[in-house]
Amino acid sequence: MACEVCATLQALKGKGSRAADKAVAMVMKEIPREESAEEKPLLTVTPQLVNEQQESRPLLSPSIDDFLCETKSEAIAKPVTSNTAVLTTGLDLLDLSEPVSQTQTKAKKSESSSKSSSLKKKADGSDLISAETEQRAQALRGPETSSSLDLDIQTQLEKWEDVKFPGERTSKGHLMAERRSCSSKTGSKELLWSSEHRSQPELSAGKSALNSESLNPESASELELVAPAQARLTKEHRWGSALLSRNHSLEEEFERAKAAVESDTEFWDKMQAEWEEMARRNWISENQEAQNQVTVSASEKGYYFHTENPFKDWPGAFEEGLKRLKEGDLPVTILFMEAAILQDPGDAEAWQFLGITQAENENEQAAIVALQRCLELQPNNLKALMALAVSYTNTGHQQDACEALKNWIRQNPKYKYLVKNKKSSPGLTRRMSKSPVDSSVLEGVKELYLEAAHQNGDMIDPDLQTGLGVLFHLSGEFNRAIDAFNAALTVRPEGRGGSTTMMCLGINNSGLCPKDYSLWNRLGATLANGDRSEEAVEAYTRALEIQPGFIRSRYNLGISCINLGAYREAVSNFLTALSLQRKSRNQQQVPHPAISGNIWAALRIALSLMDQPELFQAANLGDLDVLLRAFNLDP
Amino acid sequence: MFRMLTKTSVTLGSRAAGWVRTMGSHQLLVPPPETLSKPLSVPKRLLLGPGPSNLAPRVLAAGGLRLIGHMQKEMLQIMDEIKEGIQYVFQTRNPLTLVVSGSGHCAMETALFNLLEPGDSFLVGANGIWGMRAAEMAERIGARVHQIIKEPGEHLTLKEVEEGLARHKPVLLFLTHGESSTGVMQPLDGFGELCRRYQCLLLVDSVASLGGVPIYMDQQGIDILYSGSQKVLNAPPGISLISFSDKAKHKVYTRKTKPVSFYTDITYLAKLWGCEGKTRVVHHTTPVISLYCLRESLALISEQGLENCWQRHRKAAAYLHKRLQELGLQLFVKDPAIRLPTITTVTVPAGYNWRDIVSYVLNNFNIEIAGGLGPSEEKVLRIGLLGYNATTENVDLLVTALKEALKHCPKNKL
Repeated sequence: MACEVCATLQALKGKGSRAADKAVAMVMKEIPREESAEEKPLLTVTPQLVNEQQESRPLLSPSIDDFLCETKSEAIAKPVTSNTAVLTTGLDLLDLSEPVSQTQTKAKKSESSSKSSSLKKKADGSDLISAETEQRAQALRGPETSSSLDLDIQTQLEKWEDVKFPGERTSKGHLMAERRSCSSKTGSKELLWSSEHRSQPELSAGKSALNSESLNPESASELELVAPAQARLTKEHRWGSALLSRNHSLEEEFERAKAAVESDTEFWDKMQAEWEEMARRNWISENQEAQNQVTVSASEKGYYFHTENPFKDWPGAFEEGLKRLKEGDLPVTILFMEAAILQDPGDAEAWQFLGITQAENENEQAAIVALQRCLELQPNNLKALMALAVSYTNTGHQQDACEALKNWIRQNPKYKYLVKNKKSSPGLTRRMSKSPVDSSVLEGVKELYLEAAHQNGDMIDPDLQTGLGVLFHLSGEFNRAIDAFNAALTVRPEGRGGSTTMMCLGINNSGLCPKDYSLWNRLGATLANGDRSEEAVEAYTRALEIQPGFIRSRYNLGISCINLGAYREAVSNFLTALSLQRKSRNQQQVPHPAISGNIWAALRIALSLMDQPELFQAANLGDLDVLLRAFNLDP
Repeated sequence: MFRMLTKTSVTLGSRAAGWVRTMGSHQLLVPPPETLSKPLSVPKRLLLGPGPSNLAPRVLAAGGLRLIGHMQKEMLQIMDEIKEGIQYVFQTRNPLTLVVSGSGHCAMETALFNLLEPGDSFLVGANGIWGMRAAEMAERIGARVHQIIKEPGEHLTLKEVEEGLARHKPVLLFLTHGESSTGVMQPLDGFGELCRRYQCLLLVDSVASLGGVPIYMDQQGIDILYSGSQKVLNAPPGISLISFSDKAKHKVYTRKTKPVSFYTDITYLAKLWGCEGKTRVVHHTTPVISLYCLRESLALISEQGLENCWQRHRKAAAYLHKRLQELGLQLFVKDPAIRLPTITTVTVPAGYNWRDIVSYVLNNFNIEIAGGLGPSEEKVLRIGLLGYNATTENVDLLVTALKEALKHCPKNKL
């Protein structure tokens, strides 16, 4: 198997992957334009993006402080970004207890990122708010801003009035205002920054694109016949949509400043419904103007890059990353993919691999952000859609998982006819509810997949089966899910045939098919969640034979060991996973490891179940060496 | 009775039968429900959630006593005993101390409906769901609501409150002593003096803390204090305790408008509860049986002594916290000084869904615990050690159950 993957890799080496894309595009006669339209403008836009990205580098490569308090700031900063809002509802990273460090982070970020001198003057502490307001107001009225922005401000002031007077509003509104104010600082700064740096033609072009189209990112992806120039606009527009958050920020800033609410009264409570409502309102109504700004930092804000990436300027980072992925060194693959993105933030493929690898490295939050980013750039990236559906399933975002799976069908040239006539639902980026699945939605998507499978007859499409497996997993029909994953594995037990399938499906592949081992892992997880832990262990073992560095499967194996009461084995597996993550970091001298909090959490629990208080203490201190020694494992 | 009539109708013939039928002018639209024909079924459970808690046996026994009229002198005597009990647990000498016939929410409304008039400035310390609720109620009244919003898991400092008092000049400040949604205990020392200085009344919600955490209404300068029956008091839910200081009473009695709520109008309730002289005025029918229960739970706490009760809760909570941390779990409130002894919040461990843990513990051990609420939803498990339930034996039982849940509930990831 390894040789085959290797061969595929070799064939695609040296940015040959791009060529492969084109080859694929030609193979796929029925959707040529979609591909080429995407391809061309990407090339034209890229240099510009790189420039911008460099200017905004502080955002992309945050300070060490940022990284250190990643978990905290992530939890609080996210709600603004429409597409990352949900992530916070997630799970392992939540720790809302230290707002101080977060404020510091923001201040720091702002200092380093502010290009305009006015922003640099910003004072720390409680004066921060009012100072910001003045400066912002000045900046916004500056020559670079169009008058409609002023109008915007006006509306927002009026809005503030609404909020201000009691009795005419609900407490929800008030709370929302408060909540929104949480992360306004950073957002507005970016807005300011980008209003200075975007060029006039872009502005007007983007505007017309926005005015003439719906704001649904999907609509953009369905423009199959657009000329390159237009395609580029739609692309911008998609970025624009990612910037929704920014518009909130502007509004928040004004509400915040004018009301002069207590400066440190950040309140974060995630009632998603309200958020959605708000997002919808702003999306449609007043803030179209600001969406034109072309920046890529909106999503990056949700993704935390490693601070000192030794491969930052590595030529061919993407290809090197693929190589490392093949070798099974996930942490280093992540570094290379991040480097590739830092070099070209519009590289959808790098985002895709980054996302998938993050998931395999047991870092679901990062995976979701990266995959969302990929899909903003390339809504028809089937791999990213499937991976995102899986990540949503894992984090309990069932509705979003369904949505992603439905999009997978909708974007799939082979099956899209099945949804052609049905009304499309809103884009997945702004719907982030953790509410239990509306079962009719789940059933509807399931029907689509079953219909597709039926149409295939005896031909088994492993990707379709994977989707089915995820759907059955979502509905708790574990045995049916197991059947689906097993069916996929009959076609692709160890990665054979993967590449051809991908060629047929045609979207954006770089030759390495990660699905073989991930399929075994998915089968294992389904078996385990369906109370068949012994069999799960077998499946995980298969996955780890193929990919020994597969952190997630190692973690899962540990969990299954806990289920089976084999705590010592569980601990060994968690320690091995942690050690793998650390080892690759040490080799690369990366100061801050991408170590997963939930592996530590699981390790602590396994140790507590073993009744070994002294080791438990070591786990609390995060002392990996003591633990590795205690379990006779190589460091 | 009905059966007897039917039987008679058979013997008396069709005319009598017709009379039986015409007792009403219509045929019955809704038949007797099938479900009610089965015996009442209540499972046996240990209630270690944030409330309600198990009834103490003596309280439970009181619930089975025979009913008497709610305005009979024996009942009025019981009501007076209850008032004294409340004065003891609140540590107050306020004459305007009584029981509201409604849950803790109703006590909150009683406080706000009576104290606030449209246009009044109202400052709310919002570090969890109860502050949000108070704000919502006050908005309905038409007050100008200002919130000091804190992260879940935090408390309000004197400085923050002073800033708010200076800026908004409120007539009333709301604080939650025991924030049951996040497990935070709000320190109360100093806020009374602060409020006095800014000519503001201090309203405190102690539903989740009363009896488990020291509170001294008069000495801490609290103007309005309320609590519930279903937590540390181990009495049935549905009634609540409230007391108004003279200053608060003065504000109520000098209102320009009548409170929009008749049911919670404290001027009527005061007369019903004999807080103003000997004459009692009927206002509504009090929940007599629940009052028996409350009387007994107040008696229990008096016999035990408040200090001992506080101490017992503190010990049980410390033991729980230690055992939870030994399980590899993390407490949601980072600062040990502000952890509420009565209700503990535990961060849902990574890789688990809180629902799985809660239902595992319930289905396999008959122990009720709860997930988060409001701002802590999805993030925490809430464990209550309330009154009678605050024992190390219960902690051990729960920890055993949680251990099994941790073993069986982790989700494998696709």
